[in-house]
Amino acid sequence: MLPITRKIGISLLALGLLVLLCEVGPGQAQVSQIWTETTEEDFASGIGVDTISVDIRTSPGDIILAEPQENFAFGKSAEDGGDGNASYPPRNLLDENLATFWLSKTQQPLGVSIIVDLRAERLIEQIHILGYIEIFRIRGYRMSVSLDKVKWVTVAENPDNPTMNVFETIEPTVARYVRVTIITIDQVHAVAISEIQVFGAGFAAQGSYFSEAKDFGTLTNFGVATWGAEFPDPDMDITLQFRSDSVQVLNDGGVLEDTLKLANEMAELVPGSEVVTDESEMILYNRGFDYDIDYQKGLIWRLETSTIDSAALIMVDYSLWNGWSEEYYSDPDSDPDSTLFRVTEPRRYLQYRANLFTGTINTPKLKEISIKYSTSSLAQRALGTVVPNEVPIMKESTVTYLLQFAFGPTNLGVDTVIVLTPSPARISEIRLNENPLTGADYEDFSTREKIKIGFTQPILADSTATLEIDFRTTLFLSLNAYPAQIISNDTPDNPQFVEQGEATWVISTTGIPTGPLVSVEAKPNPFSPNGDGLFDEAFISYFVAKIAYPQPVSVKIYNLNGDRIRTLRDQKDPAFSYEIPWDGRDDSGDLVSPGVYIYQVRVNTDSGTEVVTKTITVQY
Amino acid sequence: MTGRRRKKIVLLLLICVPALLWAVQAQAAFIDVGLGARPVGLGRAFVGLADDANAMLYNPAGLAHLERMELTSMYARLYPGIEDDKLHLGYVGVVKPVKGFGTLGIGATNLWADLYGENIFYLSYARKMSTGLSLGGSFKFLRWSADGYTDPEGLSELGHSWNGWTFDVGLLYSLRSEKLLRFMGADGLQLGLSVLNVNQPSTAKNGAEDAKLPIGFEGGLVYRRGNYKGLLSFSRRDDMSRLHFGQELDLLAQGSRSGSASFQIRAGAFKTLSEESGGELDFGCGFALRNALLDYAYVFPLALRDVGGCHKVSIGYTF
Repeated sequence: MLPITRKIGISLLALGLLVLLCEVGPGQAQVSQIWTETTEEDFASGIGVDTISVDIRTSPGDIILAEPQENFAFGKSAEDGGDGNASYPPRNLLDENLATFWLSKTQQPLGVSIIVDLRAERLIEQIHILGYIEIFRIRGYRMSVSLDKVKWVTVAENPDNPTMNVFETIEPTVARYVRVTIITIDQVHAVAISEIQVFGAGFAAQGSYFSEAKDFGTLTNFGVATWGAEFPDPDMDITLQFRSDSVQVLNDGGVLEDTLKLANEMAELVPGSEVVTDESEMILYNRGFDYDIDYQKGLIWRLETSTIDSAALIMVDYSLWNGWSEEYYSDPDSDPDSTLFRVTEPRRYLQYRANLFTGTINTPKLKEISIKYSTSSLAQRALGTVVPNEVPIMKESTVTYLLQFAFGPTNLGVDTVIVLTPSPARISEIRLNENPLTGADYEDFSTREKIKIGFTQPILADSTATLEIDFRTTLFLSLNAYPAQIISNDTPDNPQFVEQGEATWVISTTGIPTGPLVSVEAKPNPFSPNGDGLFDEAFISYFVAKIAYPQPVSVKIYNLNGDRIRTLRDQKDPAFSYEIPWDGRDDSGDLVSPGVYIYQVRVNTDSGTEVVTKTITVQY
Repeated sequence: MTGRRRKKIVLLLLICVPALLWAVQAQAAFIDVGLGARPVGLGRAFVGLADDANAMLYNPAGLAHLERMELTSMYARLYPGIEDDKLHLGYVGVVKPVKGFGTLGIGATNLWADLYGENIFYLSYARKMSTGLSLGGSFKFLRWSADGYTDPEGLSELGHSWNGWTFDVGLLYSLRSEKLLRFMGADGLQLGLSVLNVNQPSTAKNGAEDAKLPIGFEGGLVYRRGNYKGLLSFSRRDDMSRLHFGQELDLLAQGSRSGSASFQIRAGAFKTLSEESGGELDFGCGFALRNALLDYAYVFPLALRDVGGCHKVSIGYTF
């Protein structure tokens, strides 16, 4: 396999502390900054929150998957080709439970094989077969391994095995499948096996690293994340997720004794928790929790000290945090990876999570992560809401998008508003603080996918402002969300994501049809593709409704014998209204002869296929 | 007719085959949609058999073998699952053998939908030439008409109609070689060839080249043993190449269809030989009592399955 090594395209910044990047804008200074984390210390400091199967110590400065000396076969899958007793299935071999076992179907299981799929390539060094009862032991076996289940390599063979448990150490071999074949039987006893275990080198197939909650000191508008990663093999991936909030700080600094006292008080409030002092690192962790569970459910405490004399106790209630963002993938074509990530903002704290995946014996490496941010946010708060929250489906409706801003003295103001629209929207009126704006006040850059309004003067006020955008739209989904972002000309690369208001930015629709395909018709019908300018083309129109994601839609023309003569459309389409023209020609470009044709519109959805079949007449 | 001339005709028809294969245009007017419940039940592989009044439609040469006057008809509703339209298909035909002259036939087909209709009127003649060989031909008068259209703004186009003509020729030949029949274990082997729409008229009002009714060709073989018939044919119609297959088993009478009572079961299929194309599985039966004939076929389409199969029913009478 050809190793794909990705260089780190951004310079490694000195020992990973906060680095400031100054961007001097008109009348503004230092609006955009970069925070970078690269070193062992940086990554290691995050270990207190939660970490699953990742390792940050054997490869300093990198986040890599851990090398668990575990049984690779545990919890994976095995098959016996139907040669086992159905009551004792092959999965019993992989459950690390000696009380359960696999049993051959007959007393003559000669040649019967069990194949274990490790789900990823592993460097295999040992294969163990643990028996169930001495007399049912495997009397002769062959062990072979394979990468593809086609070509097998024999790694161990013993036709005369005297022991119930077998521990074979083999020549280290990379493989994904392990096969154990019974090659000797005693004709009297069936074969029972408790466990097949596979050991070797390699990395966990996946793992996640959760950073600590990074404190940005003030309400922050998070922007672009850039990360450098290394992928030795193609079958690997790293994804990043983010979440933000303003956590509660109980004791910001102070002497160690005070912090310790407070921590002990807090520990008393939570049953089963205690405060442990780790002298060597001068970091105090509350180890009374199962971090893995608690970061999902609620309280995580972190006691932190930078010197012996002072310490901070920070209580982070992650259950109140905004949810994790979508996963941002490493892009093989971009180096370093870079993405504008979406979290609720402005917020003071940010946490990231790196998810590492591998399908080989190697691990991907996350070498560095930088986050571009701005402590000068556009508004202290920006809330988006739609009115009404319910309209009829597939009928044009008027909707108002309400943006409520709260401004503080350091805010930059809003120059551009972008609202993503599930259906195309046509703006009819815009009001700022209930006063209608005129064409001179703004410019409309809207497209099919979004409303985009640029304002001549930035929206900025002493305290609050309200922007209302009236638009007409026709909706095709049962639920239609309108997330928004605002942009300042001072930080054009770092939009601030709008928060969803209490009345939500979701419109649900009424009168939803039973199927996803509605109002299929062809017009004009008949049509006459004779080039006289009158009805030379027909339009097959339909609505695709109710599908949340693009689904395969096809429009095809057939003759009366069911022979397809033209494919007008065959692709994944989102819910929308469509009008597909037919010029009366077949797939090879010839005009079809006059007559009656059949057209079929087909939508494949997860819940089935909907088809509408009608006729269209060509005359000329 | 001498044996040499006979061979020449067969040769000529065989040469036509490859010449027909290259033209590709989508055809809809006067397309073959399966006429006659009995030929349909046999997968439309009828060209080599052509032993009833449906011969007019597939191979007019077959009419030469009919001994009695026969009336036939058919009705079907195609693709009943199609929304907002109904496609009807009908056929009526009469054939009459005239002693010392040959056999004459007239017939009419009708395909009609909400906005479109088309007819073919047949005038056929066939006669036996020499031992085992018969020839036939059909003159066809063609007509289609469609409704006009007016759009919501009041812009409107009148309906068009078109009339034209074309003709088919066919040949049927019984193989008499005892050696071959014995080798095949057959009671009879028959070969049929027909060439359709020989003059290739354009079916467009403006005479557009693309709307030319393409020349068609069918060639097929029938194997007969006892009360069993096996049919195989290749057709090139409507610019689509197809393979057809059919079989018929006579459960009451031996051989002839015009016995005092007979009951037949049939199964057939055809497939268009191109990507994403149509085809059918066909099942049928026929019942004859005295002079009355009743045939039925169920068509299971291989394409457009969503709109369902159809029933084709023929009623006939022999005089």
